[in-house]
Formats: sequence, structure tokens, C-alpha cells
Amino acid sequence: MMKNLSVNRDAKWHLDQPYNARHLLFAIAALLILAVTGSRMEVPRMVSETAQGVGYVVGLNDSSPVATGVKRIAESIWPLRISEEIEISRIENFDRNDLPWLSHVEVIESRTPHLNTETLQLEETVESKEVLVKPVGYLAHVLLKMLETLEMALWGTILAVILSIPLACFAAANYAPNRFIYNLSRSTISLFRAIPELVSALFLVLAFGFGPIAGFLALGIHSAGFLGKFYAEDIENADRGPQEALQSIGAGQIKTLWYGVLPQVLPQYVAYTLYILDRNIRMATVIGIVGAGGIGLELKGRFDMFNFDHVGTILVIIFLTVIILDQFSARLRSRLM
Amino acid sequence: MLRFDSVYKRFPDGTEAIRNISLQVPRGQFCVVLGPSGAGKSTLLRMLNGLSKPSEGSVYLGGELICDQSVQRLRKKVATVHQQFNLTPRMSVALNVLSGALPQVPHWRAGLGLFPASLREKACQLLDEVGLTPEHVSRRVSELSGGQQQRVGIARAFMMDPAVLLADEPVASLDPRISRGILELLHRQSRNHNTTVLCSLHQPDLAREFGDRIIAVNQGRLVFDGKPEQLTDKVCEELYHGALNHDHNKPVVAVPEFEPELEMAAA
Ligand SMILES: Nc1ncnc2c1ncn2[C@@H]1O[C@H](COP(=O)(O)OP(=O)(O)OP(=O)(O)O)[C@@H](O)[C@H]1O
Ligand SMILES: [Mg+2]
Repeated sequence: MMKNLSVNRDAKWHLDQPYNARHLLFAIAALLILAVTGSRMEVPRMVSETAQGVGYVVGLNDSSPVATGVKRIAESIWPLRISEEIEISRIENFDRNDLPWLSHVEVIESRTPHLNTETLQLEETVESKEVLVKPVGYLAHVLLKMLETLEMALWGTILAVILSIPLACFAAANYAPNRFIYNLSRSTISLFRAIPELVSALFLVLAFGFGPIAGFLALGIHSAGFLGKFYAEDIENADRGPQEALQSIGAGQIKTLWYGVLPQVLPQYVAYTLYILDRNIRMATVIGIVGAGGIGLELKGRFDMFNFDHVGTILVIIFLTVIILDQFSARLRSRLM
Repeated sequence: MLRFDSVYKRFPDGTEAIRNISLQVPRGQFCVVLGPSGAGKSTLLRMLNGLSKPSEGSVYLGGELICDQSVQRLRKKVATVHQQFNLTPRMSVALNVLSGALPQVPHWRAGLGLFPASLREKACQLLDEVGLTPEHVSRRVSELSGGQQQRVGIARAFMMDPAVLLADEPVASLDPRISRGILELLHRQSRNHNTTVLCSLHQPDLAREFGDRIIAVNQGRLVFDGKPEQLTDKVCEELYHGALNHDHNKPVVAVPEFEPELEMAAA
């Protein structure tokens, strides 16, 4: 013991500079990789066009394709689409005396210019049609879709919790019944985590058809991979003392888990689950793009039809929902910790 | 009640924690185990509740060999009080005490936390016996002082009417006054419930005061076995300064009064 502490007077001390040839080589390699991948990703073009756009905004140059593109989209998004108009002639069994809530009937005239082939004059035909106007119809529709999205995220999370609890118990080294089951559940968890939602949703849509089933199954499977991993690690790291105390009186594995481990890890579990719910809500908004229900389906449809005012409304609703939920879950988590 | 037969314990890393210990403890005896840190006290106790298996030799409980087939059944007769209390944090005092009876409770009841009325009454009675008050019941154990937590640990240990109580340094993290109170409680409880106690301690004076019998281990060997009054200051001095080693020619200080027990003959 003392020998290690005594100073060896013969030893030659010297302190090196922090860099050597290997670091230099490393830096050159890193630069090369950046240069090659950068040119493949067209980073220089991105920089020059963005600069041009900025220049256009501050008035340095007269044209910029990026700025015009952005401007065009912005102009067509605004004003946002709130109301909904439906031609009455297209509504089956329309009852004038029993209009839907908050709606009224309007007559609108549409003028279509066309060339009279005989007089070669430009003429206008005026067509009047009756439409049912719902002043907040489209907003309500989007909100309903958002609700469906939230429900999809909720059920995805419920599914993830149900799947991951047994998986986690078998994937915790100290509770796995045997090596085989341990490895099996570990690899199942990794597999679940490795399948992106958008990919599994593509296939699940083929199996279950368009709609929320494919959506929440895809979300549930992917997030079960995360929860299983987190839960299993917590079980392994839980204080052994209480577990030994229950084991030593012969309480058995399940009761030991329930009384010796669960109370220790519960706050963490709740925090993980909330985090996964939060993540699933974000993911649920886009998973509809491949046909798996929720607001994403609506977004994709409107985008493909160039209804940018509708797209604007959808984006604003998604944005607001995510912000509100962020506040909510941050507050809930801080109270649990 | 308890019997060790030439027991050895080697850990996979080669440490010999127990070397050839033979020992009998009759029913109802309060036996204190002394010994310096690393002597093997915890290992000795852990072989009785199946948390550790002897590498050689055999351990009997009430005349029955502790082995893989019997350990789960025999464990129900043994309760343990731990140095670090080993209560489940974030769980209420009530549930911690009730969890001492988990082997008796069917899974569905345990899962829902619905313990039968008889067990709940017993828990209340034990909590009263260890000196806690009704307002402690719904508190989390982490909100209790160390001494109170050990009282909860003792109440939990008596939930299954154990025949044997193992106490591994039950007072090592408590101050002297509280320590005495806890040992008084352990002593009284084991008298009232006719429990055999094997209790490891670091305080020779407490050992003399509460033990019916004192044994000492050093480097895995039994180096002393006698009545409290035989544990002189000189013996203590030698024990803790390593001079008291097992001498193969000389028997450990033997105590003729401890007869081979009746249940041993019955087995
Ligand atoms: N799991 C283990 N693996 C390897 N060695 C161990 C293990 N547990 C205990 N030991 C060793 O066995 C010896 C006896 O340890 P034990 O815990 O029984 O001592 P102790 O008398 O209880 O000491 P203390 O008074 O400090 O609690 C020590 O040398 C210890 O390092
Ligand atoms: Mg110990």
C-alpha cells in the first residue's frame, strides 16, 4: 500500500502536447468524408440558393426561386380554411327545415367566361347554385381528425405497455426463467425498436385496410420496443435489498416483482410512458400519410389536391396541439419526479 | 433447531468465506454471532434462508436438510431482519409489513393488495408490539427514521410466525440508544413467539447483554463459542485484533450446558 504512494525519484516526467500524428490523420479523414458527402447532398447549392433568398428578402437581388416558392405557398395557405361549403344538389335527402347546427344556405353565382364561337365575343354564363355553408365546418372536421389522432396515440401507448411489461420481465437478467427466453425477449424488443412506424404501417394498412387500426398497431409495436428496454433496465437496476428480503421468505418471483420492484420503479415507468405517449402523438399526426388514419390522411389528401388553405389549417392545429401537450406533459412529469 | 455440519463456502472468485463450521442452535435460543468485518457472519446467516448455498457440508433446519427441493418450503419458517432494513421504499408501512406474509397469500389477492382481514389484524398487532402508532401505518417507509424503519422490518419478520429469526447486524446503522431499544424489542419478541434467533452484531457489550450464547467467527472459522460471561474483554481484544485464530489442537471454548437437542434426535 505504502509503496504505491511513495514518489519514485528516478522517474522521468514529461507531459505531451494533446495532439499527435494520429489526430491529424483523423481530422483529414473527417474532412474528406464531409467534402464527399457534402457534394452528394448538394450542400453548396443549398447554401447559395438560401443566400439568394435572404438577399431577395432584404432587397439585394431581384429574383430568387426559393423565395418565390415560399411566397407562393404562403399566399395560398393564407387565409386558412375554416368554413365548408357543400352544393345542395350533391347532398342526399336534403331537408331545408332541418339544417345542421350553425349552418345556413347561400346562393352563390359563379361566372364562367367562354368564347362564343359564332360572334367570337367573350361571354359570361352566370350559373347560380345553392350551397350549404358551415362557417366552422372544416375546422370542426380537422379537430375531429385530431381527436382521432390522439386516440390512435393513446391506444398505441396502451398496446405498448401491455406488450412491454411481460417482455421486460423476461428480458431482465435477474427475472428471466432461462437463457433462451431471456435472449428471445431481448431480440424481440430490439426487433420492435428496429421497425419504423411508417414502414410497418404500410404493411398493416394492407392487412387491416385504411384507418386507425393500422396506425395504432404500428405505433404500439414500435414503442413497445422502447418501453420494454427501459422497463427491463429499471428492473435490473432496482435496489436488491427489498427483493432479497421477499425472496428469503419464499414469496416467489411474481410477488417479489410486484412488492419488491414495482413500487421502486413505478415513478420512472410513469415518466417513460408519458414520454412515449408524447412521442406517439407526434408520430400519429404523420403516420396517416401512408393511409393509417388520423389527421395525416387528411393532410396527404389535401396536399395532393393542392388545397393549401386546408393544409394550413391542419398544420396550425397540429402545431397548437403539440405545444399544448408539451406544456401539459412537462408539468405532469415535474410533479411526478 | 439449526445445525451446520462441517460447512464450507467458497465463492466463485476463490474467497473462502466459511471454513469448516459445525454448529447447533437449540430452539428458542438467542445466539449472537460476533466477528470482525469480512469474517463471514453474513454468509453464515444467508445459508439459512437459502440466499447462499454451502459449497461443502450441510445445513439443517428443524432436522431437515436445506437443499434445492426443500428451500422454498423451509424459507417460510425463517424470517430475516436486515442491516439496511431492506424495506421497499415508496411503499406504505402497512404494505411493507403485510408483504412479510406474501407466501401465504394467493396471487390475485397479492396483485390487488387485498390482504385477508386476519393478516391485517396481525399486522396492526405487530406494529403495536414494535412500538409504532396508527398514524405511521399509511406513511411511506422512506419518511420514517432509521430506528422506526427497523421496527417495521421486525414487524414484517414476525408476520409468518417464523421458527427462526436471522438478524444480520440489525443495529449497525443506528445510534447506541436506538440500538439498545431495537435489541430489547428483538429479544422480547423472540421470547414471546418462542423464536430461535441468530443475530450478528459488532458490539460485544450488547452481545453480552442480550445473548443467551455468543459465538465468534474469524476468517470463516468458528473461534469462540460460549456463554456471555465467558466473553471477557481479553477474548474480545484478541478477536478484533486477529490474535484469536482457530487452533486445530485446541477445541473452541465449549459450553457443556448446551445439550444435543430433542428435535435432532427426532430427525
Ligand atoms: N458474493 C460474493 N462473492 C465473493 N466474495 C464474497 C461475496 N460475498 C461475500 N464475500 C466475501 O466473503 C467474506 C465474508 O463476507 P461476509 O459478508 O460474510 O462478512 P461479514 O462478516 O458479514 O462482514 P461485515 O461485518 O462487514 O458485514 C468476505 O471476504 C467477502 O469479501
Ligand atoms: Mg455482513
